[in-house]
Amino acid sequence: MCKKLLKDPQALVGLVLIVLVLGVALLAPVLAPNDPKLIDTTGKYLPPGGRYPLGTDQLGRCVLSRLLYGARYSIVISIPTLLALSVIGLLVGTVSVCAGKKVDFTLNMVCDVFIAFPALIIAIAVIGVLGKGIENIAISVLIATWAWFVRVVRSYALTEMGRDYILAARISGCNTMKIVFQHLLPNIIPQFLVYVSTSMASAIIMVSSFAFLGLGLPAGTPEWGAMLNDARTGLYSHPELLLYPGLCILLTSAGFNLFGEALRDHLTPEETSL
Amino acid sequence: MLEAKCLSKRYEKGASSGAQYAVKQVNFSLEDGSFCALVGESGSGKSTLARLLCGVLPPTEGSILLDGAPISCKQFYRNPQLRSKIQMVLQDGKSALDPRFSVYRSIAEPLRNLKHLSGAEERERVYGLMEELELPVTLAQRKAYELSGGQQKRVCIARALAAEPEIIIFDEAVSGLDVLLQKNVLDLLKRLHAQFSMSCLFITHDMDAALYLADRVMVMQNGVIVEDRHFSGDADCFTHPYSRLLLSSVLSVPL
Amino acid sequence: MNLCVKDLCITANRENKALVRGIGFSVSQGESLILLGQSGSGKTLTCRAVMGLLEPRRFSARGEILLDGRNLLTLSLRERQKIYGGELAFIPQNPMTALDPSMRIGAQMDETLALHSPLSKAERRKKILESLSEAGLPDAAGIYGAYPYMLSGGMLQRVLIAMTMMGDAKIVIADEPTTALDVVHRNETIHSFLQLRQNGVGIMMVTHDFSVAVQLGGHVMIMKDGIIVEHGSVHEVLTNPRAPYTRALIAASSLSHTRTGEV
Repeated sequence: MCKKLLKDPQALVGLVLIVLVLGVALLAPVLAPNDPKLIDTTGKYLPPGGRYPLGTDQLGRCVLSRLLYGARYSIVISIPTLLALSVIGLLVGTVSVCAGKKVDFTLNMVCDVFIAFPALIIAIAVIGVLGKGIENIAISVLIATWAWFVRVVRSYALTEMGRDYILAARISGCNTMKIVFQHLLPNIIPQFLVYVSTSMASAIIMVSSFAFLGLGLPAGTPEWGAMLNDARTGLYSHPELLLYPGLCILLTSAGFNLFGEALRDHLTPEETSL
Repeated sequence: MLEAKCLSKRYEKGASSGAQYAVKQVNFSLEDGSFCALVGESGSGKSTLARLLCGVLPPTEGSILLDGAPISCKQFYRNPQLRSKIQMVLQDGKSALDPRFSVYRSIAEPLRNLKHLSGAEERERVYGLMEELELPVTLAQRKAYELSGGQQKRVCIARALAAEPEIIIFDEAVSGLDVLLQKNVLDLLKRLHAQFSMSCLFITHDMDAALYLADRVMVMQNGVIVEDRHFSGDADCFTHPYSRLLLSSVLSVPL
Repeated sequence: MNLCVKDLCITANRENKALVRGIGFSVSQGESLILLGQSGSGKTLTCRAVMGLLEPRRFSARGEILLDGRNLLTLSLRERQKIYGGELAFIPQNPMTALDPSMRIGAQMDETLALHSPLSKAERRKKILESLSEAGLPDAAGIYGAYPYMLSGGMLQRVLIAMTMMGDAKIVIADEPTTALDVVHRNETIHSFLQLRQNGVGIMMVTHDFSVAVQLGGHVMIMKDGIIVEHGSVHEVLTNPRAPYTRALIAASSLSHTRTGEV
């Protein structure tokens, strides 16, 4: 399975991008030539070269260092958020399916309510109440998207529960707990992993778009979305400053998307062979 | 002895068609050690009846009695001893086996749930069953989807036998297999029935297979049992027009 | 019109394995030919080869498939397209795959008919209703306005037969058309096939069920591992099977008789 996946060029490209971003996030202090927050008003908009391999921005900060540290913010916010989302999704989704019609109906309605609100409105509300901060961005992503994860798990679980092997398990004496932990979860987790890895891309974009709108992060934080926002001021004179963080967001989300989709192709071969 | 008294199951359909009976006022009893066939077309309610009898679907009306005592789905769920008495083999061998389970684990599952055996006893029992059902021991660690249709069916039968049931219900146990394989599995069922002295309820749409195995044949149409005959080799005992229709599909070979 | 297959070989490209090894047969209009065998015997592949449905990447076919002398294996794509769906019609195991689920039956039939005939709308409707009832479907008008999901598998199968009656199909290839049906629908569907044959259409049917062969009648070929082990009229083969494989198949298809024999 893993060997086959590594032979797929799509998965390989995705994996290389993911590893690259993770590596950069981890090694940012080592790789960055300068302090990403160090302001040098004498050296604004310096061209690439010398001390600043990608030049400086409107406050004279090293662009390369900011990009490298930016990977940290994207990863540090998205990975724990997705972990929390996965746990919530699996827990609430399976409970919804297994705990009877009334529970299912109620949870479904709650999900409907949350899905009805656009993510941005939720983010503005949460940050407005809780104030700025990385953890508040994570909380608003969580509130904006948990219902989708529950929905996805619920639909996977409903399909699996309708299959004969669940009935056969019941006849062979499995109680509900055993059915959930021995049969249901092992059979939905692979599909769910695919969903999670593609969601990683949208979470990264969501975090960046919040930062772009000035939501959540203190001014001067080297986050890609925030950098995009900062670069708008020099849009005509220095468009490359928009390009760098944009490319970073693109490549990171493309990495997770490519890998996720390749994973799906390998886990559900019967659907894609049609 | 398994009995059904006035057993009905109604499904709520859409607003226009109202409620529909899948099984309607069924009365019958399955004597110990008998081999009984239930024949009907798809949609005649025979699979629903199987699930009712097996205690995995609550009836709308009526009751199921095992050795004279009424039993409910809840009792089946709570009482492993009761659960092990009635087992069922489902139609599609492939989808009735968890794709992540090995053959060994699939056969061991009912043992772990219903019997309390030591590790060595469990192994002995699983390999014994595999041998009984002519499954090569080398398949033990294979996954269900790596097996052929006939082998999957055998694993399902082994699972049911593992619980040491008094009654096994076979729901379309041979459909989907080609004719030679069908005969093979049917012969296997015949042998197992004699060997383990259990009662079997064989549910099928194939009159030919029913007549081959059963000493009693019930014909079901639209949720109702329309004919119930003891069969000893003379197909002329069936008189209901629907039974005659089902018989018409049986190949008559001039011997 | 005559469909004649000569020395057909089908090989799986990747495994380089011969799946059909030099078989030959012929069906003319008004005749029926039954290809009978277990799954894996190559009967469905043969059928697909005749219909030009083999995936060229996975399988390669050699030999001749002659329709009135024209070799279907070597004809150009355009000429073949004219033949398939025209003189040569196909009825699959699952009729749902051949029908558009979001279109009423009548509209689908009308669409095909309008392509080939100069009739007016009212005349076309009349012709469709006629062919539906000729295929043995009760309440032709009701079926005309129904969506495919509203009909049972057996009825859909007969809708397809009605479609071939309406068109100018000379030879019909049917791949296990009754396997998914229960007895009542099976009998009715075979009845429609008999009507089709009476209308002068040639039928080549693939099945694994001997009782279907007996009901349809005609010529039967028993296929095993890509070759024909026995052929002859259905009655002949049934009463006097020569190959041991045929005997095993007949025994397995008439189980209750062997039991009667015991008693």
